[in-house]
This record gives sequence, structure tokens and C-alpha cells, in this order.
Amino acid sequence: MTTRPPEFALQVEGLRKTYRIFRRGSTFMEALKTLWHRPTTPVQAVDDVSFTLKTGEMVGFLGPNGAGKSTTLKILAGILHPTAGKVIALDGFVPWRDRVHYVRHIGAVFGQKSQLVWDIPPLDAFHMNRAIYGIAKADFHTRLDELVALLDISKTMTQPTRSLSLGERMRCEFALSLLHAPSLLFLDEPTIGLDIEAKHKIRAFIKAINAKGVTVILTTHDLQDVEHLARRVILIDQGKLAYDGALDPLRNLFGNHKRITLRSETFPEHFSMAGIALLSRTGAAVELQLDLSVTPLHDFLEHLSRICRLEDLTVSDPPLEDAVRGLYRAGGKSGH
Amino acid sequence: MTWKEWAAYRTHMAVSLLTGPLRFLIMAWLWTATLAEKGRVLDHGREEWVAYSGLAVLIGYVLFDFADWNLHMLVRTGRFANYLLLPFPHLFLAFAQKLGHRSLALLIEAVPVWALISWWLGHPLLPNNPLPFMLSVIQGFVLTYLINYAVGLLGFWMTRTEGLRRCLVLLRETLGGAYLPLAFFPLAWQPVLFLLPYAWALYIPISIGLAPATGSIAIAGQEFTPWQALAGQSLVMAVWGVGLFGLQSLAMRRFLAAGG
Amino acid sequence: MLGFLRLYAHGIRLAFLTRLADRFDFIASLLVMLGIELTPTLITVLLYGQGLSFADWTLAQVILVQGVFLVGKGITFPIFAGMAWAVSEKVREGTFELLLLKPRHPLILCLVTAYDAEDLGKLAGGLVLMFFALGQTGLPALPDIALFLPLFFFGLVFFAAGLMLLTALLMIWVGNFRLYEIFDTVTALGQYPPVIWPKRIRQLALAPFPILGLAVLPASALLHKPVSGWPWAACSAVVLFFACLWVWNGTVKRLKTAGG
Repeated sequence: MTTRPPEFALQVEGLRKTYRIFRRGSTFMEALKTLWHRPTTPVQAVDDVSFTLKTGEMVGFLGPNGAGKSTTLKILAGILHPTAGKVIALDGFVPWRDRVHYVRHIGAVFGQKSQLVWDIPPLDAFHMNRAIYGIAKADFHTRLDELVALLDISKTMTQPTRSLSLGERMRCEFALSLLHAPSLLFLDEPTIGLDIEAKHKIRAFIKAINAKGVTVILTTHDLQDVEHLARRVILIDQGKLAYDGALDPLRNLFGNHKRITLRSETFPEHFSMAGIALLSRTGAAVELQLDLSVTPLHDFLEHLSRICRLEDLTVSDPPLEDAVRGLYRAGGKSGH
Repeated sequence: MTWKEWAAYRTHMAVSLLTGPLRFLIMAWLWTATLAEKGRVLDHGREEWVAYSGLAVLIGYVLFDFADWNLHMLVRTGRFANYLLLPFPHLFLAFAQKLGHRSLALLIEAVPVWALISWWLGHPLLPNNPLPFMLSVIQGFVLTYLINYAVGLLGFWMTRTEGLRRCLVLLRETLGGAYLPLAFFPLAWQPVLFLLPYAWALYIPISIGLAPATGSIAIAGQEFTPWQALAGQSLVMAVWGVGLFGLQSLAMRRFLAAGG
Repeated sequence: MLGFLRLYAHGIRLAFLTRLADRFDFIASLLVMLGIELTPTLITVLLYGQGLSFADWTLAQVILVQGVFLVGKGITFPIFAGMAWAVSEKVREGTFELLLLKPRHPLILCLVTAYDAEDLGKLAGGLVLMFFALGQTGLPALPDIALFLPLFFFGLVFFAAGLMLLTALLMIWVGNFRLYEIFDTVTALGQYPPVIWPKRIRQLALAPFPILGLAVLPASALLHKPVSGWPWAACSAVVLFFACLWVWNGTVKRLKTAGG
């Protein structure tokens, strides 16, 4: 194993993965032909992806469905071999080659795949994990007590998994994945299907874990998760790296904009100004988008105060969704 | 659509090309080994008993059904409710599914296995009494469906039915004549065997196929002609049909009363 | 080794806790699966009941073979067959990769997390058959037991090899549970005396495919009529075990999951 600076949790270089997918037509003759021959198509799931992740960093890993996110994560977790490329993780592990030793230091939580046993309480699965990871009894109980307190699962962990709500089950999934104190955590849609309160608890927990130095890779379609948790975003589209950088510049990738939400009974029926786009209007509530490269904010506010009487005004950054949607539509051609 | 759906499972069905002839061979070897000394048992020789085993394998492919498992799965997962939105009962849809996958099975399983047994293994399987035989197989097809659907309906009352379904598979295989002709069972058991529907689904078509044109078939110790046996099978099928509609009505009332 | 045994004990405990969540279904399944396994014994009893027999084999001797077969299944199936079903389900659901996130060899985890308690019914049933048969044939002498033990062990090794190959094939032909039918049909031959095998292929059933080693060889040792050629069967079982282990490993390495 090569020695790497401890400051990096992951170093990914030129990662590629190609699959062969079976093709089947929809007509009767095509279905009949598939009885003895099935044609295949190569699919480039991951295409020359490179990035580094510092120890203790939390990054949002985004991309549309079928972009190559899960494939990339599976390669980084060591459970899939790439077609080409290099990955160095933690203390110089090559994930797929050093899998058994490497996975002792990583954890994973999947929003859509449970690692608990359906018919029995999560506590039994925790004990099973203790045996699998060879965690010493004293360490196990200390760690379990910590996680039980942080996640508030003292009652739920002794009930059969099938009787738990989704939020309760997710908290137990987190406990299961963190019992062996991993230094790198993969989170695949951890808040999917959860209500607002449950999401808030999970996000708070992820922040707390990250604050203790655990590196986190968060894959999610809920951009509020990213806005609340990550300062850096990696966006994968059609297998390629479409964006790798801080969150704020991403918002302004397609222009420097502000979202203006105002309330005014006297807002003009027909309002027109350079750099202003009307997004929605319902009675007195108006939502506008301001292009700062055309009209500075100060000029806009001055003009607004002259043409109407404002009851309320909010100036905010455009939602991350807009930028990400723009990137998806652009087909990953924007730079990073 | 079922045909295309099941074409995706062609390797699934093609397994029969290996297991069918193998199961037949095992029985053929058993008959050869056990009849080596006596030559005949229950008025039949080795060739006839081997033919019995061959027909049991082939008719088994035509009759095969998993309506019980399918229905129970739909109830357990809540997907059965989707079928209530359709303009015809699930009972008929499921039967159409069976027609679909069994017609594919005829192509991939029954006909090739028949060819393998008849030509490659050298045991030509041609049923006597072709017309009553075919009618009996069709009735057996319907009867098997009715039985399995009725078992599936129990899923509206029971959370887990795997144990019960396995029990009925056991009864069907052992007491339906899949391995040994029912004549091998003690005489005192015969009436009980024919009270169960399994014998009427599988054993009767095989017996009709093997009976000489002017010969007879033993049912519960009594002798009947092939056409009489066919009529008896029709009666059993009718009774099960009526029973099934009644059970289905009860099941729907329970399902809808519970809110779906 | 101690670590693995501790881990396995955990796995067995978890398997029982999971299965006992529905006790009625567990017991029903246990009994029914045993019933299905006793079908060859029923066939044998019915055949002998009609005056047929396997040359030079009494009914009790054949039942002893079937008892040994069931005991062998009862020991290997909870461990390896449970693994086959569990792995197949995981690959089908796309959750097999979750095993690869644990710091153990996937084979170890598959074994540890997939103990199938229902198959213990075979062990109990097999022991009952063995004790019944030995009650009729007389207790074996110590030298016979000394030969029985290693032969029985090699029978277990062959069972394990077959089940590992089945697991590997289920990973490739995802959800094709009919592959078990092939395994079941082929091994079923191991429950009958060697006289059912045509002479020209009887040798094949010793090596390289020691089907006779599953039950006939060890049972023959207990009956003081050992079958010649048993060392070939023992060697074949070991070679096949390592070959199947190699295939299993290779399949796990090649396993591709859908990306996103």
C-alpha cells in the first residue's frame, strides 16, 4: 500500500465503468427472437471522473437518475471494480482491491435498502454487527450508548423493525452503520420519504457526526439536504463530472441572480424593467427574478419604492434547484 | 402480454428440458429395477408403468399453476386493490395469465420433453383415446387453477400461507398420482384419495390416456369407462367452480369491509 | 476459527429469532418440508407393498439409505441451501452488495446470515428413519460404523459442493429457482439402491459425480455390504467441493449491479 497524506480521504483519478445491457424489443417477433439470442449495448456509466476529498469534508454528490452516481459510489465503497482509473482512499487503500480491510473504516446508509432484519429488533442486528466487525464489548457498549443518545432510539431499537416508522428505522440504520466508528461515511438518499421533523433530526445528526471529523459523501435528490449540510457539490451527469465546487458559485452558474419576493397592493399591473423576470403573481404577492449583471440591486429597489407601496420584501439567492436543473438541461456541459 | 412477460423467463422454463427427462428416467429406472423379477404388477407391465410416468411429467407441465402464490402476494403487498379498479374480476385475469404462461410452456417444455422422451429415450408416448384424453387434460387445467385460486383466496384471512400452500403441494404431488398411480395405495385409502380434487386433476387424464379403447379405469376401487371418468371429472370441476365463486364473494366482502 | 464459530452462533441465533416471529408458519413449514422429503420413502413402501422390490435390498435397508440421505440434507441444507435462497433473494433485490460493505469474505457472511432453520425438520425425520431401519436390520458393528463416518462426511462434502454451485448459478440466472429443481432431481437418485442405475453408467455415480456417496455408500457400510470404488467417490467429492468454491468466488467477483 502506498503512503498518502492523511489530509485526503479520497483521491479519484480518471474513473471509468462500462456495462453491457441486454436489449429487448417490444414487438412480438422481437420477443420471440430473444428466446435464443439477446443483443447487448455497452453503456458508459462512469466516464473519466476525477476529484479529491479532504478528510473531514462533507460533499453533496448530485446527478439526475441514471447519471452514474450510484456506480461511482459503489466503486468508491469497494464493492464494484472500475473498468479503468485510480482511487486511493484513507490510509492508501485501493477500495476494490483492499475491500475487506478498507470497509472496516467506512460506513454506508441507504435510504432505499435496509441493512436491518425485518422481523426482529434493530438491537439484534447491532449485536450481529459487533460480531462481524469484531468490536470489543466495552467499545461496543460505549459507542452504542453514544449513538442511542444522539439518535434517541432507546425505545425503538428494541421493537421489531417492521413495526417502526420510516424515520425511526432510518435512525436505527445510522446507528448500525456507525457502531464500528468509520472515518468515511457514504449516505445514499438518507432522508428519502421522511417527514420534515424526521429530516431535521437526521440532518442535525449528520452535521454532528461530520463535526467529529467523519468525512461524508451525501447522495440525494433533495437539494435542501445539500443546502443544509454541504458546502461543496460534485455533480455527475451522463457519467461525466459536470460540476465540482462550492455551493454558492453553483447557484450563479447560469447568471448572477437574486430572487425578490414582495407584497404590494399597488404593484403595477404591467411591470417592465431590464433584467427583471416575473416568476409568479397571486393577488398582492409577487415573485421576481433580478439579473444583477443587467440591473444592480440598489437601482431596482430605488425604482420599486417609487412605483409602488411595499408591505413586505425579501431578497434571497435563487434556489439551488434552478442551477442544478439548468445543469441537467445543459447536459453537463457547464464547466467546473 | 403474458406470453411476452414470460418469454423473459425462457431459461426458467428451459430447465424443464433437463429435469423433465431426468424425472422420467428416474421413474423408468425404478420400474425396471423393481419389475425385474415379477415382470407385472396390478395387471400392467413395465412399458405401461413407464408410460404412466412419462404422461405424468408431460401433463404436469400443462397443469402447472401458481395462482395461489400470485394471489397471496398481491394481497400481502396491497397490490390486489389495483385490480379492483379494472372492469373485470381478477379471477378471469389470473386465468388469462395461466393460459399465457402455459401456452409458452407447451412450446418450451411439454413438446420438447415429449420429443426427448419419445425419440431420444426411446419411450414413445402416444395417448390412447385422444379425444377424451385432450378434454380431460383441459378440464384438469381448469380444475388445477380453481383449486390454486381457492388456496390463494385464503390470503385474505391469513397473513402467511407458505406453510399451508406447501402442505397442499405435498398432498397434490403424493396423492394426486404424480409419482405413483393411485392404484398402488391401499384399497381402504382409495375413496379418500378421490374425495380430494388432486386425483381428478392429474390422475384421471393420465388414466384416460393409458386406458385401452374398450378398457376401464379404476376409481376408488370401481371400474369406469374413459367417458364416464371424464364426466366425473366435469362434475368435480363444476363443484369446485361453484365453491370458488362463493369463496371469492366472501373474500371480497372481507377485503372491502377491511378497507383494502 | 473461533471467531468464525462465534459469528456463526450469532447467525444461527438471529435465524431462529427471525423464523420464530411466526411460530405456526415455522412449524407448519418444517413439517410439510419433511413430508415432501419423505415422498421417496412413501413410493418405496407402496412399491414393496405391492410385492415389488429392489434385488437384494429389503424394505428396511432401502429406508436406511433414505434416512441417511435425509440426515445429510438436514445437516447441509440449513447451512448451504439457506445461503442459496438468501443470496438469490439479495441479488434479485439488489441488496447483495450490502454484504460487500462488511469486513468479511462474502461466503462467510452468506453462510452466517442465511441459516435456514426450517431444514432442521429433515434432520429429525432422517434420524427417525435411520433408527427405525436399524431396528429392523440390526445394529452395525464398530468397524462398520468406523467406515460409515468418513463416508457420511464425504457425502456432506458433496452436498455442500452442489449447493455452492447452485448459489453461484442463482447469482447469474437471477431468480431462477428452478435451478434447485435440477439439483433436487439429480440428487434424488442418491436415495435408491445402486441397482436402479444402468450398469454402464453406475461407475459415473461414484466418480466423477459421487451421487451414490450421498447416502448409498455410508448406508451400505452400516449394513456391512460396502460398495467397491468408494475411495473414488470420496476423492471426487473433495475435488468437486473446491471446484465449486472456486466457481462461487469467481461469480461474486464478476457480479455486476445496476448503476445509477
